[in-house]
Amino acid sequence: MALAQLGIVVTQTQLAQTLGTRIGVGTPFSRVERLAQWDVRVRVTRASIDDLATLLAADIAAIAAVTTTPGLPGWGNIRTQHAVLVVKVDAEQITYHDPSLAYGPVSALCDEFLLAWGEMDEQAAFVSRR
Amino acid sequence: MGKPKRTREVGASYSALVTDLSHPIILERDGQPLAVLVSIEEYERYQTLLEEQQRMLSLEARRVADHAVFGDLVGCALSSGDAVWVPTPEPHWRVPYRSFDGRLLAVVEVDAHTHTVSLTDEERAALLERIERLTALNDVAA
Repeated sequence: MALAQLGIVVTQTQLAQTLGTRIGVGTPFSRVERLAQWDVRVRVTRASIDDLATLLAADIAAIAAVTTTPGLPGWGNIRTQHAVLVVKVDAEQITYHDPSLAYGPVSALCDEFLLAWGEMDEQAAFVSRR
Repeated sequence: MGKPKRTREVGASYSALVTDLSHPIILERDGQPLAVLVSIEEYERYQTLLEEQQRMLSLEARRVADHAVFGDLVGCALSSGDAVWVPTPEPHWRVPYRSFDGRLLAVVEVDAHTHTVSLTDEERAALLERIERLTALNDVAA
């Protein structure tokens, strides 16, 4: 999704091979750095909501690692580690694409998103074209 | 809670002791503290604090277990459940891990004092292989 946002077309199979994704097991978040092979710059770091807003405004894709909570649409009581592509930040809500949901994008209250993101130490990956 | 009063007269009349419970009363026997008498309001406040503390400890145990099970994995089809308190023989928490369809796949124990997690590298690898197989089977069935 982050690559598509930057206009780079990659198949799910290519992506899974590059990231070493195992079905049902997932991917270590740090491996997102391997996206650099598609001529993008990737920076994995701890960030803030303000960072997300600033970098999105600069056309940089932002992937956030979260622990799912009932406050995130579509997850109910399932608690697991996940990654979402943030597309918009405003005063009260954060809008993001969730690859596990068949629909999207979805929005969550900033406080709810912060709870889910905070469980993963506010880790984010910022992806931009070189 | 105010400064406690002390009484060596454990045998003192009950009504005399409880007339003023604005401060806790420490009952002593042979000069040693034996028990504390507090107002029901104080006792209920204490119980609430204990419950809140237990809830926070439960969340922390779950975080510790999640860290051991997931590491920095994202997209894993395992879900952790509420930690269950087990006081004996050694106090610990039991954290269940289920597939998204609710099947119990593992229970990870977290020592209440040391936060040591009872999950070896081999057990973690086996758990991840199991969820991988289950997810693949479900994908085929779907």
